[in-house]
Amino acid sequence: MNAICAENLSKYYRVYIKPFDRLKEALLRRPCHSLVTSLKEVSFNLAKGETLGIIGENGAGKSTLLKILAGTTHPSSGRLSREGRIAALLELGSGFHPEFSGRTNIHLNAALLGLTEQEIREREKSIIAFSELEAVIDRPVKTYSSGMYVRLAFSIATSVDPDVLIVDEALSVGDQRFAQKCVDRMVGFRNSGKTIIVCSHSMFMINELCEKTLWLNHGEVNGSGKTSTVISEYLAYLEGPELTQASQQPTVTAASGHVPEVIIESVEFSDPDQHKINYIKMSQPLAIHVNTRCTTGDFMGHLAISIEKADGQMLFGTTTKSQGLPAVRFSGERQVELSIPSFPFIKGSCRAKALIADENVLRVIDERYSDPLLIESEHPEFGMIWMDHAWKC
Amino acid sequence: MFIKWIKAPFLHKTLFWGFVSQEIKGRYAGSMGGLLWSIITPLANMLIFIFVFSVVFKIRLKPVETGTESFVMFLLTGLLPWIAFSEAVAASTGMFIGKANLITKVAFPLELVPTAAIFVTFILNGLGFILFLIYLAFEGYAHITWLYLPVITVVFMIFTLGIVVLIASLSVFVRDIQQVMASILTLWMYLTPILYPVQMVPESMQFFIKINPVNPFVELYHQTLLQHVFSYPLLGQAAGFAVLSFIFGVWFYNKSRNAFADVL
Repeated sequence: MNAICAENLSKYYRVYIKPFDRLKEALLRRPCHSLVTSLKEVSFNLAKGETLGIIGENGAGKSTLLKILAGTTHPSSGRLSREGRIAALLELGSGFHPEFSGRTNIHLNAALLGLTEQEIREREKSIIAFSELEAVIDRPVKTYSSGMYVRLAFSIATSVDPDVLIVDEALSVGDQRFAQKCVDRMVGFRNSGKTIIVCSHSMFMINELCEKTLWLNHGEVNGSGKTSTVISEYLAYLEGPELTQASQQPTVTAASGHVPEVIIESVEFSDPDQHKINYIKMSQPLAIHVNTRCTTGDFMGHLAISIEKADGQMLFGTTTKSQGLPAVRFSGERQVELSIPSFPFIKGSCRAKALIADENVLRVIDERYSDPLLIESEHPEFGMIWMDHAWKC
Repeated sequence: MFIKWIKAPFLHKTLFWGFVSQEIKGRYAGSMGGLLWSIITPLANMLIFIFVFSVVFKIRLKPVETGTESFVMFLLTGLLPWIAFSEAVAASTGMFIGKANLITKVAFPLELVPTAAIFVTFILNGLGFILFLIYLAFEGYAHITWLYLPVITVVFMIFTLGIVVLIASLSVFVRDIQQVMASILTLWMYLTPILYPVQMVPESMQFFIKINPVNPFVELYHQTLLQHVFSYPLLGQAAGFAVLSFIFGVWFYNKSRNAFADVL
């Protein structure tokens, strides 16, 4: 059963430079506008209970797509069918009246989102409890701080109990603790089988919450499917075209034209359970798997693995030789693992580079980059790496 | 698509009453007088008219034409409904523009906004009108024809709704209407037999009275309240204008509704 079925959705905006141009066009029946395409032939299906993340750069058409899905604007062409009660959090608190009390606004806003009076009365208590605004709920909302404002709005919007929930960047609500509550509630929604559509710049959140991801680029679908795959494609795209190419084509550094004796098939990040990962939190364990294939008979060589930033700066590097290990025997297909018990970087992204050299580490046989690894961290420290530290004041 | 408008307030009761209370409280938000102002303002207006026309000018009308000698009675009979109408129309220019944030961000039955606004305008002005009726009754004007008043008012509300919906939708695209509306309403008032009995208009100008859609409503109020006659042809004419205005307003709204979110 499909909750959302979108076929070739396109959205064009007519942009008039002066308001007068609109009149001129209406009277003269001659086009006086320029057409701006913000969405082009976007198609996807979302089954009930699935979660979809929408990613893309600014101006990629994410918000336009969400607005169309929420029903506040209509596509210029294409078909859209939706099932069930849809609640959209495109902007928190857009229906609030500043002069009214929080309690009155709960009633107004919930009614706006489609609840009946009886449903609102039933939920009023839990909305107030979730927002933690018991003390000030009868004050006009104009006296609220902006944090209190969005807390109330989020509590109302998610209490609607929709079949499909559409969220636009709304989860960075309030302080860390409340943000966590919001994420927990979203996860609760997902676990109870609701359909969720989220648009966010936080790859971490998309990765946590969504099974499927849609990557929009200049209004077109640039990639869709399994979240981890799409995110790594997107991150690779963001980090620049040169690196993308480097990671896609095996770099043949051996004598020109010759097939290297050992080819590095892939370099992958994994968690301790051997699952491929694209993101990591600081201090989690990490394993780097290098899969190799030997093109001749046996080959004795050394392996080097380095972790680099997007700009190529090496953060860390190690080789089998420098660790005093004997040369590795490559024959047929072989996987080498480098395990890192505690990942030390705080934020940013990095990629691993694997390199195979001969026994004397004089000749590079083959080298290859991994897909980028996103580091997500809640640590309050700054910079690149984490150090054990203590303040004495 | 027309039935939807009548049904909407009943279908979305909570939201409708929400908009109504928002409209009422929003008007007097932060003021201490609150609803009292909706009585004080028309009362003050009445007193001004009484002072100017009855005390200073001492204008007397022919009871044969208007059913009353008092110019103030005549004036208020037509002016009070007109004020309700013009208030609603004046507010309509910013009705959808002011809700831009809501229209672009939340999918909700927008039909409720104009219906609630007109409902509120007529209720609040109705308070002043009821005061006036009480005054009239004290002066001995009460009559059985007054029972037609609710009918006239409902038809008048439908007429107003049509105009309001049309102007509110049009204003989204042509913002200049906001600037022009005040002048149009002033001009319109002087072209409507409110400040003068319709009989005083010269024969050559009667055409303009005939095509003025507000005229039958004002005349209905005049006749019912003061002359105590009720003319069905006039009600038919008024209802005709109401249906026309409503159909045209809703037609334009339906045509342009989908573009609101893009333009706002």
